[in-house]
Amino acid sequence: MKTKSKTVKITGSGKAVAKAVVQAAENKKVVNNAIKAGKTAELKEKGYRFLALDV
Amino acid sequence: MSETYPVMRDENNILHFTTQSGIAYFATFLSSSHFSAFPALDSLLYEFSFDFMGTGNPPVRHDPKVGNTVVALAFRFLKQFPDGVLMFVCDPTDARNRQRKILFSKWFRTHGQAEFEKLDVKVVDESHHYYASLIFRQNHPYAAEIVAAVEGTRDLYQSFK
Repeated sequence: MKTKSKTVKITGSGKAVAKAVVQAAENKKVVNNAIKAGKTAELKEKGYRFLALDV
Repeated sequence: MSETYPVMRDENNILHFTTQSGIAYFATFLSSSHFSAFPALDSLLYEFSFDFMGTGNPPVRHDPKVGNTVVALAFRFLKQFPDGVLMFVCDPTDARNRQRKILFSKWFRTHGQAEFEKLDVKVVDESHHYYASLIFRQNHPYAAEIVAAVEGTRDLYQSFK
């Protein structure tokens, strides 16, 4: 049995899932830029919360 | 799982690993709130991201352990949080986002485990093409709702109270 994979194409950013994807892309940009700039603490102040994954 | 790099977590829950050639990477699982009308699912959704600690173009040297490590982190999340839903969005700010999507899909296909479902989403608007994936276990209690929401047959923002 293989992992199931399916692609859905959405045109425009009006649908809820499209808004979620666009917002997640913005989050990614903000978070990654802050980490690269050594400003991780500022993310916490702005309400960004990261999971404490056991590694 | 193939060979991976050791990963450490810092005091802010940022995950770090460094390659054999000295390139530092980080990864994050950001608590998300895209399904606020459906709190049960909202609390399960995390945005997964990784990048290298630098600016400009990413390193081009082929290092399969980077992909192994990234995918291992994604599956570690799904093992630790069996009802978790992982959202991965490729950076749309340059022309390489489709290549990133292909690479991530290749990593997932290579190391993917049969019990997981990967739902790929492409969003096209005036300025960008966004590629995203939602990954969750196949017997997830909200699997039908997640698929329906992504396919647009049900709007979780409005339909679930």
